[in-house]
Amino acid sequence: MIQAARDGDLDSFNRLVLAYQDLVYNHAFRMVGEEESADDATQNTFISAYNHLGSFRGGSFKAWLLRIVTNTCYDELRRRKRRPTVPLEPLDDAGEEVESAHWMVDPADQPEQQVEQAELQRAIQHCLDNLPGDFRTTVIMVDVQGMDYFEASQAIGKPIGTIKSRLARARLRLRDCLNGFAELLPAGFRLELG
Amino acid sequence: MKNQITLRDYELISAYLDNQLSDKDRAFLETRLKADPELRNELHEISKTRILVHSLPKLKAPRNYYVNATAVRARPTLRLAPVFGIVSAVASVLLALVIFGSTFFESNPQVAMAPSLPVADETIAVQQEVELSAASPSSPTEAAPVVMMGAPLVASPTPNIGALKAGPTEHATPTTVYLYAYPPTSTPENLTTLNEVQVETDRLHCEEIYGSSAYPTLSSQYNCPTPSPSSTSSEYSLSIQSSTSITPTITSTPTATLTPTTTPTPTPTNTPTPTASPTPTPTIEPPSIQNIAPTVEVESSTGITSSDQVSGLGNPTPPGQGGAVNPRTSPNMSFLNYLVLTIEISLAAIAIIAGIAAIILRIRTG
Repeated sequence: MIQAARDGDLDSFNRLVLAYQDLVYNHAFRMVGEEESADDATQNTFISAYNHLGSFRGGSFKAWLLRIVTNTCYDELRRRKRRPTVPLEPLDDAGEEVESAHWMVDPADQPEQQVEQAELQRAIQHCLDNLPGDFRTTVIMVDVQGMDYFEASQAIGKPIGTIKSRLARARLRLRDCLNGFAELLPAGFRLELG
Repeated sequence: MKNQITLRDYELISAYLDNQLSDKDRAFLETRLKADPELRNELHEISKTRILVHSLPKLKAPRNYYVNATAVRARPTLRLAPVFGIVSAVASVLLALVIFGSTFFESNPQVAMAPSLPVADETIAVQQEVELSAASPSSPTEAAPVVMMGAPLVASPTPNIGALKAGPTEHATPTTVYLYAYPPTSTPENLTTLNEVQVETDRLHCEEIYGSSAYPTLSSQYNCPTPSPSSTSSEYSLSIQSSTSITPTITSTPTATLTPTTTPTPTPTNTPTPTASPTPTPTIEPPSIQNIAPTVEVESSTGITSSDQVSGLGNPTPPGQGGAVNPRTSPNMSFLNYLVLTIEISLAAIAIIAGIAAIILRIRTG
């Protein structure tokens, strides 16, 4: 199927898209932390992959695709860093400011467990966003995507020793970040860490 | 106690949790874990962090990201690397062309500017001489006209009329025009810096003339060392055939030859007056020499001794040669040089920048 796609068969390539779009979107979301940016990054990744299929020399197509999405996300992060566009207040679909953010929703309307889980995920994502780009990529690939060191090394394009070092440092920073963030989180999160 | 745990320890812990340690490292770490409670505590904290991150849900794509033909064609800007490469190549070629062209055109004018006999300079020199002579009082016998060309020559004590004759033409004087001449023993007082440069130029021209085979009979007119015996004379004269004033007619007399002997000179092609080639023995005309400055016209009726004779002229340039060589005006050439330099620098900068951009884009796109 990959060879057919390289020969210009668009249908074959779209079958590849169907097989890997969850992986790519998940990686993009964890990298940029926003749905809209992750959506753009995912679409750009597949378009770029189609345009550069000739540069695929074989091996892990998954690793090759993750490298493209990582670079795309780096571009987005650099663009965002140059032109920060974080709104002071979140906006709804109509572009109106939301008076109360979703995290301010009355937890009494939702199961407590779901609320805690959502807050925990947001805390973890917050700590991931505070990591440097290369650390973030490594921990997402190994701890979020479940890749082994060899696959991560292929996707990132660095030796395994570099992967080990970056992963250790990333986990250390995440530990420190989560410990500091845990005081602000609901009791359930703290109980987990306690 | 935490300070004793190094980054290497954290790497071992992290790899241990991922089951990525070798047997040797695993045994080593387990030994340390048993003995070090701080290390065990760090192991637990890193393990929980790893579990928390791993617990993040794997998000599903909110839609299908199929690639269609229009989406692919609508993004031609992704292929910027070849564009920059082409721009760099074109700029390099243009730069090479500009450099080659500027070098070629700079070398050509030098070749074109081969030594020639500028007749126009003589015209100007004559005019200046006329003006200067008109302004300075001069005795008829000791006139020191402006030296347009050459230094005063030492005149022979005896005038050699025969030398002035142009062979069969006994009346060479009517067509003889002496622009200027100096008394045998006097140095023109007005031979000042007025035309020193011109003098030097004429000397050089004179040397060229002597070196030229076209005028084998030329004698020293401009105080240049010539092999001709008559060159010892301090006077120089040049017969110029011209029916008009000196200034415009110099160029029209290719037969304005100076012969140390009385051999007739070849007649010019279009000169109405018979040619006369007086010898370069200026001593014959001391009386007439005095008035050479003001009178620049060549009179056919005047003899050699006529005061109207004007002796001494510039370079007997061959016909059609020696047109005024106008050197390139320095301001224009400066501007052109700056313009060319600016273009070269711009092209070089474009080539370098585009080349670097192409390389970077290719590296990024893998």
